[in-house]
This record gives sequence, structure tokens and C-alpha cells, in this order.
Amino acid sequence: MRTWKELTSLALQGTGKAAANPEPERHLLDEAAWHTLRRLAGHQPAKITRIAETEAATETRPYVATPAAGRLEEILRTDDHEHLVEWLFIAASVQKLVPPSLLPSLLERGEEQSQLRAAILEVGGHRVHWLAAQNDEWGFAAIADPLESLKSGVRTARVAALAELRRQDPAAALATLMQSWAQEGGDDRTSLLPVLEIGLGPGDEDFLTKATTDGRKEVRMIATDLLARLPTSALIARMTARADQWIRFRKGVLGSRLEVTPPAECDADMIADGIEPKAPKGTGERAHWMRQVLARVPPTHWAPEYLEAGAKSEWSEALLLGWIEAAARFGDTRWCVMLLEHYMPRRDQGNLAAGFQNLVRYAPAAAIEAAILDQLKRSPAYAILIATARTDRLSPAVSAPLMRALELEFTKQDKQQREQWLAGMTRPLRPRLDPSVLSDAIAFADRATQAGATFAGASLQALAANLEYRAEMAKEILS
Amino acid sequence: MPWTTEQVIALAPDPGAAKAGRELASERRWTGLGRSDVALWGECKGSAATPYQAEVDLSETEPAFKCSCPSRKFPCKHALGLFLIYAARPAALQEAQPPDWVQAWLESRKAKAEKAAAPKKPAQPVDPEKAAAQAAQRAERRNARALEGVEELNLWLHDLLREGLAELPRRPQSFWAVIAAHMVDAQVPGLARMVGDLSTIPNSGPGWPDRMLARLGRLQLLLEAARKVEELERGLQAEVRGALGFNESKEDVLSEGELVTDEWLVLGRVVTLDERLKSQRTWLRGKTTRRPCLVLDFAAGALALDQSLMTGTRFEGDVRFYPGSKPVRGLVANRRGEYTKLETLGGDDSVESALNAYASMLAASPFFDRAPMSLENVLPHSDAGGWFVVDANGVAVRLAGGPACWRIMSMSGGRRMAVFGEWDGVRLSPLSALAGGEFANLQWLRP
Repeated sequence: MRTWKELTSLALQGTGKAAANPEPERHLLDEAAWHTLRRLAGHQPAKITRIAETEAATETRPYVATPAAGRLEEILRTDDHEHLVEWLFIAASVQKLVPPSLLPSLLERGEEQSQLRAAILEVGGHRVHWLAAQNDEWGFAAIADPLESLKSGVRTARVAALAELRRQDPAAALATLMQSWAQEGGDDRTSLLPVLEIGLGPGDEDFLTKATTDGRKEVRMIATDLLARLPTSALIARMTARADQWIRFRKGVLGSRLEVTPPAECDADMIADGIEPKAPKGTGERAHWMRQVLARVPPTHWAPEYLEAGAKSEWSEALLLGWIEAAARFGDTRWCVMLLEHYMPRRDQGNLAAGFQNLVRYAPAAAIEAAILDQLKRSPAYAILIATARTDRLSPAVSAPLMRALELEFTKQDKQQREQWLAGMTRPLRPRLDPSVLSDAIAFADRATQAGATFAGASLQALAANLEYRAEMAKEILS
Repeated sequence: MPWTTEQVIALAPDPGAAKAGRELASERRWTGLGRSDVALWGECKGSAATPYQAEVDLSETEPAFKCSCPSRKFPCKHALGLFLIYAARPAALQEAQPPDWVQAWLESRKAKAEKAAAPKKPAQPVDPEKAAAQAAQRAERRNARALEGVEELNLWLHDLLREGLAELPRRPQSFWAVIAAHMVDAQVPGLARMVGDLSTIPNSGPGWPDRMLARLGRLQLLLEAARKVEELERGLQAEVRGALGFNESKEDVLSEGELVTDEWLVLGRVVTLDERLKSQRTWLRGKTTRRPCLVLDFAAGALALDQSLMTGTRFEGDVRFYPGSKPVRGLVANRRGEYTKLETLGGDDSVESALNAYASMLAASPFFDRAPMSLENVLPHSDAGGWFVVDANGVAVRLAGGPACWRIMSMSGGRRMAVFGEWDGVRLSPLSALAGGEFANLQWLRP
């Protein structure tokens, strides 16, 4: 009997070149079969004696029921992103857990899409931390013990751990970070510093101020940016002082106006405070500097009359853009609403378009809902426009009047265009409306179909089907 | 049989149809929803002026669908929507006499089925002796052709060895396709399939000559057995014929196959796509007899696979086995009562006893590739050497990699669990797992 090695080398070169006994091929194959079966039947399993795995902590929260888990599996299998976001959001809001077998898929999604991470950590329970700690790619979730992860984890895990610590206790987290700060490399400093945005407060100012003299430019920029989000910081006080020099309010018989004298030069102090001296093409330098400074002044500093007066100024574009950025940056609901209320109609003018887009995208949800409700009274078309620009969910209190506005606007549209107009509106609104408006959508669909708008009826049916799907999904998760 | 949402979704031809079907699974979209013992029906309002008439025939194990919509998907979203309503809320469909359009379809289906089942009427009264002689003659012709195929492959195999395997990675696909086509012509599809499997080995990475020679050796064993099939004992004869691709008819198996009554655990399922043919392997295991049973199903094109066996459940019933010496392939002949959730995968407590069971299967018949393996109380483990499951004695089997391993790890949470899969002699391809009350199918078909 020949060895397996002899057999394979003979097989590779071919029996034709070897000395021949009768039927050499057959003998070769017979022996190969004998070796193979012997090896299969006598398989020697490996011995693994050292398994040092720890056990995951026992969960205290309930798992979702089977139908909800089945639907999540279906959503993951079909890569249905829209419903995945919704599923996770609902489950996280009621503190239910996902069965462990689905966690690896969720972690993969979370690795690709950071906006899903908070919800995934919420629905993953202790198990998700335990699991993620074993796979470097899932660092964002590997924070079973955040102090330990911050000390010895990979970079993504350290960032996630610091975020978790900041959520628990901002001051203690800062103290922990300061202990190792001097030894951190440049890349680590650049990754860790932005996390201080979570729970940002006056206690962070000294540390951030020191970081504005860091050797690395990215670190300096992040530090300045964070200080510019801290309403009580010295940086903001300097910005406010600058703005006050340039902008004066004048009461007049013919109405109030703003006297605006933007700076003639961008001095070294301004640059040190994070002002970008070079203006983009098409923008005046002075307007550019003023806009950046205004963007770092909390809007509460200004009386509401400044807005109306500023809008008439020859510098109105820079003023509005600065205020828009400040309103979004400081999450100032009142200013967001005021800006959306009065200046939405100007959104098509020059550079304002991008400004309003950002405002609509980044303004606090409460401000957006207030603005929508307000616009519904004066210009439903703008209200719908604001609503379609967002990606988060609208409350029932806004969804219902929006549905009514949609129908009202629909009837006002030109007959030739209205069906196309409606299809264009319902598609972005579909995932945002609250399922409670289902019956309104159905009634609208019936009325549209009866009025001969068959295509509109179909796009509304699709809207209703989506609302119904989401309602059923929510019911499964809650049950 | 009650249907679950999961089973109905599995019938969808693609994820798009599944999602669309979900959205139509709402009573509000339908009028005239009804059901009888054997059928479901309803009319769905769509964008067209007349509603679509969808119907499902439940008179056989595998449901049949019809819809008046123009979609070429099968089943279409309307039929799926209708079926999903029934699965979730049967009471939403009124029990009634089928309306005319449903009745007409059911009758035409029944007539077709009867026509297919009825023996072709011979022109003259049948002479039983003559018929038997004719059948024997046909069988003999088929055997002769098969034997010709076996001889041809045998020669081809020996030529291959004479030339040497070294050139194989540079051979064109036609090198394999020609001989495979000859095997199809000789009505030995089993051999054609094996040649197809061989063709993938030369480009499967380092170590391919070992894998190739191992396969070729086992193929030679089969060819040798086929040439001497008359000298083998009956059971082994059947195994050889099965491996060559002689198919026993389902009817014969259901009436004459070895009958085993037990509580059957539906342990796991694999679906593979091969160009236009979908194949499904569903593994059962008798709770008391510990007999493994493999139920195969095939569906061409857009047709759906049989969803009547639900993994993660168990049922009392009868299984009939195909002929063989220690046959594994079988059919569910009869199911009594409902499906119940699995609490155990009924596996071996040690890797050693699972491997012993595999060795004795090999001893009974060496003509199979995959054996079922079910292990209780194992821990998943990964290190530089790959993924393993380890029993209480520290004895480990290697897992075939892939996302399933991470799912197993997640389910364990560091505690002992049960894993079921297919063992190829070297690695276990996990198909399902049970831990902390959660059963999971580990094979996701990504269409």
C-alpha cells in the first residue's frame, strides 16, 4: 500500500510516465478511495482544552416576541433600510431586546451606518457588548466596561467607551480623558476630542482652551469648534463683543434698521479663534468673516427685532446666514421658527438656499414641528417642503394637519400636474408621517380616485400601505 | 394545515414580492375574501379599473396560485397578500362556497391532475404478462444505457489519471461539460452532477490535488460498484442506483418504502440555487428511533419550494424511506396533530459519539457526501485555527466559516448550546442552533 503523498504526486504527473503494472490507474484510484474512506471514518477531532471565554451577563429586559423577531429577520434579509431604522427606533423606545441570533447582522449594519448605533446598543442588551468585544470590526459596541475599553480597546472602541462615559457623567469622563491626554498620539486625540460634544458644559472650557494650542491642526480646530458651542465660553464672549462692534440697532421713524459695518480685516486673534480668512469664490471677504462670527453668537443675544431689521440691510445675506447657522448650532427653537417663518420664501436667493437646507436638516425636532404648524396656517406648501426635507419621524400632532394640507394643496394644483405633484410629495413624506393618519390617507385616496385622479389614488394607496405596514410592525414590537 | 407568516413569505419568488405581498396583506385592500376547505380567494383593488382576482388552492401539500393580474412573478404579490391574511387572521376570510371563477379553476386543476394520474388507456385490453415483459424490457434497456455511461466515465477517469491531474486548472469548462452531457444522455444524472462538482475543484485553492484525488477515488468506488451491482446485497444495490441517479417514484416510496413512526424533529434546512433549479434539503430526526431523514425538494424557475416542513418544530407522524441499506432519504407520509416548538435538537452529547455514528453510516454505504450531525452542550470557540464547537470533554469539530459562526457565538453568550449541521468528514456546516430557548435557522438564502 502506497502513502497518500505518493498517490497524489503520481496522480499529478500521470500514470502514463510511470512504470506500468496492469491497470495502474485503477490501482491508484482504489488506493485513493481506501485512504479517503479510512481518513473520513477515522477522523481525529481536535482537542481544545483552554477556553477562557467569559459568560455574557443575564438580561433583565424582555425580548421582542416571535412575530417581531421574524419581521426583523425579513427586514435584514431584504436589506430594507427604511423599515430597519423604524424597527430599531420603536424597539429601542420601549426597551425591548433583539434575539441574540440577529445581533451579528445588526452589528454589521451599525459598522456601516453610524446613525443606527445608539438604537442597536439599546436593543442589544448585555449580549451585544459581550459579542462585540470579540470582533475588532464591532468596536463601536464593545463597551461592556467603558473604563476598561477606554484604557485598552482599539480606537473605535475607545471612542464608543468615552461616549458612554460622557453620557453617564461628563465631568468624570473628562477627568479620565485628561489623565491619559498627554500620552495620546495625534490620531487618538483627533478621534477622542469630538466626543466631548456629548454633555458639553462650562466644566470643559479650560481643557478645550488648552487644546486650542495643540500641536496638531485638526485638534485645534475641533477644540475651537466645541468652544463655539459653549454659550458661556470666553471664545463666545469674544465673538459676541466683535459682533456688537459691527452691528448697531437704530430706531427710526420709518422703521428700525441695522447699521452694519463688517470688519476691514481678519486679524490674528480672529484666526486664532477659528475664523477662516479665505472666502469662497463669489462671496465678499468681509461678509464671509462677519457670517462666521455671527454663527458663533448665541441667538438669544439678539432681540427678535434685529432679524426683521437685518433682513432689510444691504448685508442681509451674510446676517441671515450667520443667524441660521447660529440657530441650528445652539439648537435655538425660537430663532429657528422665526427664520423658517419669515425667510423661507427667500430660500431661493443666492447662498441662502444651502443655509435653509442646513437649518431644516439640523434644527431641533421641536423647532421643525413648530415651524411646520406655523407654516400650515400661512403657506401649506412651505410646511410640506420643510417636512419633506427631514429624515426623522413626525408626531401625530403634526402628521394629521399635514395630511389635510396635502389634500388642500392637491386640489389647488393644476389638473395636468397635480398627480405628479402628489407622487413627488408622498414619497419623501411616506416614512415620516405617523401611522395614526392611516384613515385620513385612505379617505383622501378614495376621494382622489372618485375625482378621476387614478394615479394619485394609487400613490396614496401606497402611502396607506406603508403606514399600515409600520403600524403593524409597531404593534408586533409592543405586544 | 395551518400556515405561518414565515412559511408564506418563504414562498415569495424574491424579496420585492415578499415586501409587496406584506403591504397587500390588509383586509382593506380586498373585497369578497373567502375560503373553503381547499381554497382561498379574494378580489384586490389595484390601479386598474377591474380588481384582480387572486386564488390559492390548498388541496395538496404544495399550494397552487392563480391571479388575474399581469405580473409574471409567481406567486404574485396579490396571491401572497391573500395568503398572508389567511396565515395571520384566518377569520378575515369568510367560510363560503367558492364563487364560480374559483370553482372553475379548481375543477380544471382537478381534471388536469386526474388526467395526469390516469394510466394511458391502451388501445387493446392489457395482457398483464405482456405488460410486465414490456416493463422488464424497458428497465433492461435503461440499465444497459446506464452501464454504457458507467463504462465511458470509467475510461475517461483512467485517461485523466494517465495524463496526470497537473494540467486540470488550465482545462476549459467544455472539458467537463462534454463528459457531463454524455452522462445525462446515458440517463445517469447522479454521475453528471458529480462531474459538475469535480469541475470546481481545480480552482478551489491550495490543496486541490488532495481534494481531487479523494473525490476521484470515491467516484471510482461507485463506478466499480455499479459494474458489479448484481453481486451486491439488495440494500447496497439501491444505494448505488440512487447515487447514479435512478429515481424511485414518490408514489412507490409512499406506498412501499420502509415505514418509521416517531416524533420527528425538523432540525434544519439548506436551499441551494443552481442556475435555474432550486434544491432544498430538509433534515429530520426521529426522537425515539434517532433515525435521520433527509427530505429533498426541487423547484424549477420561479416555482416555490415545499414549505410544509417547518424547521424548529416537531410533529408526530410516519416517514417512508427510499430503498437502501441504511437509507437516509425519505418522505413524510403522514403527519398527525400540530407542529410544536423544538426544545432540543436531539443530538449527541459528545463529539466522539457523533463521529462514531458517522463512521457507521459510512460503513453501511460509502456513497454519500454529507451526513447530519447534531451536538448538544457544545461551546463555540474561535482562535487562529478557525471556528470550532467544543464538547464538555474538550473535543472539537471544525465549523465551516461564514456569518453563521458569529450567530452561533452570539446565541451562546458563553454558555453551552446545541448546534445542528451537515458534516462532510472534515468540517461541520452549521444549519441551525438552539440556545436559551431561541431556535435559529442559520442558512439565509440571499436571493
